[in-house]
Amino acid sequence: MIGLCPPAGATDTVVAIDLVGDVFSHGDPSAQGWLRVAPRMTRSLSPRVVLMVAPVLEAETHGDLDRSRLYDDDDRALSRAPLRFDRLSVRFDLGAVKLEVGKQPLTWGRTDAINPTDNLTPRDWTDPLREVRLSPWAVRVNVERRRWEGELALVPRYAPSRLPAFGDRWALVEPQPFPIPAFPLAGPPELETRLDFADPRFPSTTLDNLQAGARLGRRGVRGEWALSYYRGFDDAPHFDLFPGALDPAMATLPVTVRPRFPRLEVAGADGVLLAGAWALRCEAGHFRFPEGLDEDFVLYELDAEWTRGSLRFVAGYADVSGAGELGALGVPGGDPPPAEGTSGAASLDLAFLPVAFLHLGRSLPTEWEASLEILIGTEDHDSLVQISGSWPVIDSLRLGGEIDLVSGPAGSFFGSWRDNDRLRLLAKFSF
Amino acid sequence: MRRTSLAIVGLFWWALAAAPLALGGPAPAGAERLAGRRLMEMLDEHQRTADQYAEGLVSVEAKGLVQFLEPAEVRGVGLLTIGHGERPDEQWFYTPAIDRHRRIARVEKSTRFLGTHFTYEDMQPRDIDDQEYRRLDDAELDGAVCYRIEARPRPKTESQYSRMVYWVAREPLVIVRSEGWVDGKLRRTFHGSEVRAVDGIVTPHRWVVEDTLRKGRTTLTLRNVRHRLGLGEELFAREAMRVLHAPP
Repeated sequence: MIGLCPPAGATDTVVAIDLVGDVFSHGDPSAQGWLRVAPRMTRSLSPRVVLMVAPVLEAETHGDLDRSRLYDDDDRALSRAPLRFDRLSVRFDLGAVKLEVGKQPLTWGRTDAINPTDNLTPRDWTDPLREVRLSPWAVRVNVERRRWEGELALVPRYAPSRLPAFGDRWALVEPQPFPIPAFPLAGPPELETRLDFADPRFPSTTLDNLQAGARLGRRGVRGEWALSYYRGFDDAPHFDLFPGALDPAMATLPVTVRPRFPRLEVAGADGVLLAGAWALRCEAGHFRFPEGLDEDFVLYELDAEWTRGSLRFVAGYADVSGAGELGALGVPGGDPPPAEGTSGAASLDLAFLPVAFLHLGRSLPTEWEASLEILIGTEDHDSLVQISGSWPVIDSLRLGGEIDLVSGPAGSFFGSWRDNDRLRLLAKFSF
Repeated sequence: MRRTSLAIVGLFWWALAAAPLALGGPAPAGAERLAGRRLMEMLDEHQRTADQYAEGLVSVEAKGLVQFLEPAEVRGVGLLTIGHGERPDEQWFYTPAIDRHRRIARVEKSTRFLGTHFTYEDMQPRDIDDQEYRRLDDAELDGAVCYRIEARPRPKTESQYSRMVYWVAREPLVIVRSEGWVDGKLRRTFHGSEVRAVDGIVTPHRWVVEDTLRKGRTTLTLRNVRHRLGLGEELFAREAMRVLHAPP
């Protein structure tokens, strides 16, 4: 019997080094730089046991990373640490059963823009146009037999998704002044808001708080489908707002912002139907908050993909129905002032919906690649356009560039970043 | 002249199982499990070259797992194919950077395979009953007299070729040239050479495909070919794409 793993003792290593330069149309700084070193190593400990190590070491020019420490194992700090592990796990191949234990990405779902069934891995949206997945410590069991596939994943420790920092160029909402209805009879014309962030209280790492996901799918010649269930906590922080005592002299309303991480259950379904050169994909999840503080909602996406050779075209639409329609980050501002206990979900998946999107790309190893991506908010008429291309200069070096264009009315999701049009230059070494 | 390389750990039916008999032909008896490495060299109309390598395992159940080895930026990218004879194949594409496998629509058979002069149809298995055969006059190739067999797809069989012509060497008995014809015009020729027996099975170790429309050629060289290996079914599973599989 031949094992699934590479021969015992064999080590496979790949190192990727990315150099990225961002040049913005406005703002300070107008140029940013990133260095990312990502070796990926697989070592076969026996014919059926493989050790996988994939650290990521980053440096940047502008303070997005937490420079006070090298590594943040629980990934709960407001800023990302320079070192993290995409993978630090041991994998056991037991015939049709595969078991992986350790830090690992848990990627579920089938569609391109949002993945309502993908709730086991938090994201880092420090740069929201370049989402980073934060691999949790987990145990994952996968069983594939004939046309059926089942997977169970357990994540003992909770970590939230990381949002752009307030005051950062990617901050979605800045505190706005509140108009005073009684003015000019009483008070100043408007109040400024001062945000005070309370320390978050994360779910403890106990058996009761164990996060778990299960997925069962079946495939056929014409397509495939899967049902899934997640029970744990919402990776998107919810914010409870507690207005403080008004300071008349300063015309300032202090507001304490307390992040909350509610329990969450998601019943999901996804599928793909093949029709000639087209693949029609769908994915939906019913989000339920058992503690009753937040309303249920349904998040869904529909995609149509066409491929021919190296060309790929995708058109899709995603929306939410139910309480998620608030789509806000729960940040105080506007009119009226927040009431005590006001809450909102922080998920970027919700904030830019409903959205229609298009992707057209050519991807072929050893040759030039190009892509065009367009996201259009169908309600606010805001948009994001990304045009990119690259060329392998030599075997180990690919040079490329990307233009990100964001536009929309003030107050819309992409509109809040409309000064952030940028040109990206990329050099990627792989060896 | 720029040289790039693309290496693939793969389960190539055509390259290994079918090559001893014919392009697109049935697998030889006793070739249930094969392993080997392949090297492709492409020469395009601008005289630029690109190399491709494959190192892999083959099953006669028409299942294939292709995993890229080089260049490093695509190492681990995988393509899993499960063939079903008359029904459409099932295919998944795996991207290690996002750790996600994606079911893909049926690939057009006439589409170039990874930028080479081969098409997807050339790389896929074909049931022997999918074609009707007729013996043509014998002819000489490289100083040796060969049988010539014409194969036409049956009505239910999807193929870009309206006919194939196989040239079969008499000693050893192995196909050394195939011609793909489309509407009376020669579209591609596949020339096999470096014929050697491996584990008792005669195997051409070098194939050159020439395209009459898209000028240039691709050379495919097989290395480390082995037959009759006992590979587990679990190798052809989506989850298996997460790990690179070197041949035993």
